[in-house]
Amino acid sequence: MGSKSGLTNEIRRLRFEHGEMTQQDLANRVAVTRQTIIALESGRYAPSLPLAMRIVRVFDVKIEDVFQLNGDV
Amino acid sequence: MSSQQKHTWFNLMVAVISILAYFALWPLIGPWRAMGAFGLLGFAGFSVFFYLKGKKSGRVVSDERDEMICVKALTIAQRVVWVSLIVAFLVALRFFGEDGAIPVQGLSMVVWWSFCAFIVVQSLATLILYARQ
Repeated sequence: MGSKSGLTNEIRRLRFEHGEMTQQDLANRVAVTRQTIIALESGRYAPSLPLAMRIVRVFDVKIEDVFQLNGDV
Repeated sequence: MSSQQKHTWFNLMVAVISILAYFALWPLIGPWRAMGAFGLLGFAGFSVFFYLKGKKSGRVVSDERDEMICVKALTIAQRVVWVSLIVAFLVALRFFGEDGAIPVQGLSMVVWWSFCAFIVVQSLATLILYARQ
């Protein structure tokens, strides 16, 4: 999903690839609310670096496999 | 709906009820004594109970996104109240003149309305930011 910050992510796809993990499960594992996971997946919210690192750790992938920065920087 | 959104809706309701109570009391006891209606704003303190249920169940009730929204809404509300106070000062200057004296009730009216405006603006800003972010 795209966002105003130009940050896109693959969280939804990765959740389904990891045993159809629910948004609540992921929220519990990275210590945020389910609403924040929804906002992340819909691209309305760009996470802080610590939160991004926690998400990456849950999926055991590299950060660029989850988050991509699009556009000119 | 997150705990912070419930808390915000509750605060907004308390502020609106206080304003309505003020205007309901005004014809009966006058504009100064009707300010007692703003005492209802004290009920906003009970909004903290919206966080207790989540905390007891061990759920995360507030995270970095909630904090960011809270800070942004607080900043917006502070700016609005700051501008309102300047406007109130200019209106008082215009109304009472440079040598006039502002009644004490007038000052407390400004304080109560500023407090009420702060809660309303902060609540509306919070709800709009939740819808957008």
